[in-house]
Amino acid sequence: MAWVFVRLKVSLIAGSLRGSTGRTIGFVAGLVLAAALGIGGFVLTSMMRLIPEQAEHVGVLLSFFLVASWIALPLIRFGVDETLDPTRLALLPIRPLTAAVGLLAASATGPVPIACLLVLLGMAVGLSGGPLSIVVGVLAALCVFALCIVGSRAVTVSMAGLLRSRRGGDIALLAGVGVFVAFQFANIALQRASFGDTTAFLAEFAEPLSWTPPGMAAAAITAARDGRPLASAALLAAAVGTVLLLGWWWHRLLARSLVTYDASTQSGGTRRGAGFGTRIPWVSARTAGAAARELRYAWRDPRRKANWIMALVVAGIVVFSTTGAVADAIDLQTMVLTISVTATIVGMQGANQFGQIGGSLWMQAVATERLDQVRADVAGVNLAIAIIGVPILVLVAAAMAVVSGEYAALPGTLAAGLAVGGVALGLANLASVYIPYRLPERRSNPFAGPSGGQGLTIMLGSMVSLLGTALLSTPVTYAVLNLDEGYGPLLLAAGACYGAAVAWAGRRLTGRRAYARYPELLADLARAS
Amino acid sequence: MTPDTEVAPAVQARGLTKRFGAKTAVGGVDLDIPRGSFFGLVGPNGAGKTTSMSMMTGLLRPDSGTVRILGQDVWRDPVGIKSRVGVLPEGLRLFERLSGRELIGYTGRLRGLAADVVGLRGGELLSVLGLTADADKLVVDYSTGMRKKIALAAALLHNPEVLFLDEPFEGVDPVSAGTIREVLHRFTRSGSTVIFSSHVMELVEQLCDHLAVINHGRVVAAGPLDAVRGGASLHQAFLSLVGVAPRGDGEEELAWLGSSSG
Repeated sequence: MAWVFVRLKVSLIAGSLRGSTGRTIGFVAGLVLAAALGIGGFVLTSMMRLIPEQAEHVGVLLSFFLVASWIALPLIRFGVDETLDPTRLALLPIRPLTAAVGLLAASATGPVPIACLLVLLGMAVGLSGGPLSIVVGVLAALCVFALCIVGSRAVTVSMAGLLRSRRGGDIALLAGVGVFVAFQFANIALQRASFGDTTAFLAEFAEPLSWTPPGMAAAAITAARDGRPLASAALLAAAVGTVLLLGWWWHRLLARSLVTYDASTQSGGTRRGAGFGTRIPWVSARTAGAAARELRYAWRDPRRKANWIMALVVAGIVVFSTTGAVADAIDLQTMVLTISVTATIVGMQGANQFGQIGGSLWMQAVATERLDQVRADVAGVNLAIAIIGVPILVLVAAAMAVVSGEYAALPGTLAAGLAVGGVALGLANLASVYIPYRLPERRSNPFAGPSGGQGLTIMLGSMVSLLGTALLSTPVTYAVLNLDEGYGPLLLAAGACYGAAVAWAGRRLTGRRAYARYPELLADLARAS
Repeated sequence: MTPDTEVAPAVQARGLTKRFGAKTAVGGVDLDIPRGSFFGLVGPNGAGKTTSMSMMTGLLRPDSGTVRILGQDVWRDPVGIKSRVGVLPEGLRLFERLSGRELIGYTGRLRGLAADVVGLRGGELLSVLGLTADADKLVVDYSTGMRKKIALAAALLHNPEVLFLDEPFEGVDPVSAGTIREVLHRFTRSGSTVIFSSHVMELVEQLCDHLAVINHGRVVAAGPLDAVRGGASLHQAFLSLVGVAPRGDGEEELAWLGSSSG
């Protein structure tokens, strides 16, 4: 039965790739990357043999980190595994235990889990030292791998009921943001810690973590290596016990989710606001309509809201991590760097604007017969992003100026922000027609990523866009960093014009491309995922 | 506008073809849909009704063939034609996070209508279709019938001359279906054209004056209703046209089905 689930997952991946060369290339690139990570990770972790003293600490940290990320991932991006929604099995005559084993097997299928397993096996080699410890090592590696898979599935299922309701979408948003913030703060704390004595430094983190189940599994290997078979057996037994306990808990949750029907979408409030009749001077009615639609969606659609909240949170973290520590030392460079990161995130909200419209894109298509109409739609999306994004940029720049007292740097910082934001938006416009991607239709799922097989294409696309943004905004950032602060007002005007010009150019090219292949966009994005 | 567009049929399709990979979904459809007709497009599931309709409305690019609506080529010269056409496609994915009223308002903006016109027409459409009470609810909370009705309102808002409807009555309760039929009848009486697809023969028989039967991506019969059914009921005519002889009681196959089997 488990084999059936594995084949189901493989067919789902294959099905999502069918008929799209771009997506297939992306997936193959993903496979290569996963293989490189897995094999490279195996080699690196197995070389821990060379540093036997630190090896245990590194092993403990690595195991803990892997398990923690597997558990946190569905919280941040709920629906990492859209294809394996247990409620889709509800009508089939499958026993919960069979379903549990099958879903686990399917979860373990895929390039990323296999890469993870390779890294863990490398750790087993790196930590072990004799035939007995090799056996313990392989068992411990499998045990940590099982913790990853079962933990991730258990968190998904336990959150599923909560996340499925519309209000739940907002809760998930908070949870996801919370995890993200916690992770970032841990990261900052780590960076501030002293790096004097590596072994002592590692031990400081590893010692408490070696009492967590993944830590115990790693410690079991070194215990066997150092000739303490009893301790090793006890540690391994405790880790395996945790896996069984977690598995049992997940199995019970799953059994319950297979028989409960969700009816939380029955009630819905009403929305009354200014209609779509508001006129904005200098802006065509169609552009104003698209902007009004986008602004409503930014608030009402959990997915869109999640994007904006994440943008804000990331901006906050960047500001905090670059400036929080040493308020006196903030200089123009820090401010420009920080505002550039924030502006890039803001501009990138325009990427996949057609994919976000998704299934309802036909409503625009049937009302589109001229090129200027498509351009007006794209302009509306850009306008909405500017309406939300420019105040964010002003806020971030002002906050940094206040904290550092460098008020003279404010115009230049803002100039860089507007330029980078405009460039990012222009490139995001282009990306939205050149690499549009489908999002799953499930509405309760604010962090759902693209559906299967598209991830790598998108990642490559984003990397190209980021690089392009950095390159294209160089003239302005260079001028800001090298010209006298007296040129501030001039720079501000120039930066704003430059950003607007690039965004405008991106919008024009995007409109042309989208107009020429609207039917293909529709076919690509409306295909059931 | 050339003089002959005045007398051109509402829709004229010639050799429409669409392949999806190895499968030919539509293999050369020719259709002439007279102006002012209530035209039914019937055929079994998977016959190519939706694909044909998508190509006629400019949503799906044909591999070959031409479509002229009111004398104008939809694919070669789209400017000006889409504003004369209304569409209600299958699946009905709408802007879910707008309220019904906002959806109409946004459609009006897309269609380039003046705000006061949208307000007036939208209000009347909502009231005739019985949606006024729910106009401020989000579309995501609408039932299937309500979704069809709000989509119909959006399709009618710019007063099109030709209206394409894909399965407009599927999943709609009898009360809503009655309302939709009334609106559509009023629409065709004014000289506008309705093309709708269905596989419910009784409905087509009641509503349509012309129809075409599509099977395996080809038109197997087309013309006025009486000519196509030729004395028999449309149901019987349809079954013989799509080549399904009425089975016996199917003794050989499905012998295991039912409680009398072992």
